[in-house]
Amino acid sequence: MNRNKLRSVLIFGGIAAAVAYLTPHVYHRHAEPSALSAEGPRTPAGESPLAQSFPPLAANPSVCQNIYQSVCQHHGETHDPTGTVVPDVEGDRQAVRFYEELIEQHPDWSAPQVDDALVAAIYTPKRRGRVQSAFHFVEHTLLKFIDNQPEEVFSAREKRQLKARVRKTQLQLPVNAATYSDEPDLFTKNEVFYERMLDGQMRMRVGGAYLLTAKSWFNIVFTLGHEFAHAIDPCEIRSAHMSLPAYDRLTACFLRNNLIATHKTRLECEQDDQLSETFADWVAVHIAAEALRSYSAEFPGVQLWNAATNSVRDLCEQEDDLDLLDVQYHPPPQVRIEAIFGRNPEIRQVLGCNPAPEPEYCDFKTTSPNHVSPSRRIGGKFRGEL
Amino acid sequence: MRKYLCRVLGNVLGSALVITGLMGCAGTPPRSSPEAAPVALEDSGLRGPEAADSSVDISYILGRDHYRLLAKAERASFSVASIMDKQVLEKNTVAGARYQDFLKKVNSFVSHPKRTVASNSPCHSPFSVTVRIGKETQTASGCRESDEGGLSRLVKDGEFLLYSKVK
Repeated sequence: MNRNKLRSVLIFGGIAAAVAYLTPHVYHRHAEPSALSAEGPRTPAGESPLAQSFPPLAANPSVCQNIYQSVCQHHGETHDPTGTVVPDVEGDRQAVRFYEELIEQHPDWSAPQVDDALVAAIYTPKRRGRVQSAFHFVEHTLLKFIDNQPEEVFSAREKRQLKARVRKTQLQLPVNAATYSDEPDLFTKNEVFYERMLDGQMRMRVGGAYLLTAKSWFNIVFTLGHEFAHAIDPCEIRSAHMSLPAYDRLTACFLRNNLIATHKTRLECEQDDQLSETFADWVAVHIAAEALRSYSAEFPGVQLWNAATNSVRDLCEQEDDLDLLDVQYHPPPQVRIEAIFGRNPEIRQVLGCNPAPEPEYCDFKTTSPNHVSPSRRIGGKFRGEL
Repeated sequence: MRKYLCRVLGNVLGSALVITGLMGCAGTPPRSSPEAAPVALEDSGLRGPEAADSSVDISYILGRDHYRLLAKAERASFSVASIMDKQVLEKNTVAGARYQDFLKKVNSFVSHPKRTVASNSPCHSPFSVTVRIGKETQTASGCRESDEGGLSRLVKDGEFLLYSKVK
């Protein structure tokens, strides 16, 4: 590479890096509607099945009393003004149909050729833009969430460390099959997930089936918020050899309020432990509340309730068959939706519900007189006693 | 999780693609457990008469869902099924030659698992791969994050086999 060429690369690389760095900082809620409106349909509330079944919250206090039941009592597709949420298995089936049709139409194609065509069909610029928009919203909100914690929660250094992990997490959306060449089975999966690789890379990937079906912007925000939170969850933080007293306080509160099941075989961050998933839900709820608050004027009343429902609607599907649920690492839907989502003060405020009765809603500041560092806890016992 | 997988297996037992009692409900490994030391099955048997009585069970957690890919050869009949949680997504009869290619890849996978799990690293996406040829059964388990794409490519091969069904 000659010197001029190198200079050009450095200049344009620098500009690209600056844009990438600034994007989450300059992002604000008013940048979102382009992506939001780009991915219709924006169903008017009057046409929504849920809208017909939910009177305004003020006229229906039972909704506030049992948010879990209100969210989960409907089966099948649910609508909000930005789109729908369908059961996970439906997403997989849709993606598989795409895949099957491609193979049938092109029996001479190799698996990578089919994958390329599948990626082109599913990861369209419109769908990619929608996820990217939600990703930036979530990243921005999460950084703000960390920044806004008082000094007694996180020191300036701790904030820097946490924010560095957030910024390091990349959203990887395929432009062709090669992007996921090390995970080619993802194109037909209805999943969004965080991974920390052996080389330290932190990334979030989105399965093709999820793009096909998760059309509600609020669901995308909650889902990405949950996965993003894993970048800073207590187990990841421990793996990074960081120790945050605020995390210990929060974990103790989770345990005290039964937001983490204390199986006898539980070994924190190792086996039968729900800590990282409970934490991820807890952070995602805060982000979902911000998203709902942003749109509370645009989507009042029932529309906002439908948006809130769709934020967590996919957590309760199949809940009528407990055999289907992973309750080893994830808390059961009732805990996730009622205790973590439904009792959150910001969620309740934006929905017009009164504050939840006791017990306290956990935050980084909550303490207990009998507080013991949860890092030593296994189930109901301490490691030293085993 | 073991109880859960046994239940899933029990339900799958009702279908034509059941792999009766082969896996012994070994199931998905704990998230942070290291892989068990597998012993390679004889490669020479992969295309011989024993391969006609063989099966594959790939079980893995991705995100919040539990997936399985089951393949089976029995009396010159070759079939594959894909299951998400407890629901069968697809099941098909497949070509014998393609099945045997897949069986060979799976056998190679369980014989040479990656052993690069980072210490003190929570495993978000555990998997277990079991292959049976004749009466011999071997299992490898691990973590998707530290597997360098081996499991994912195996699943992809299995799905390509599944959807390239015999007409």
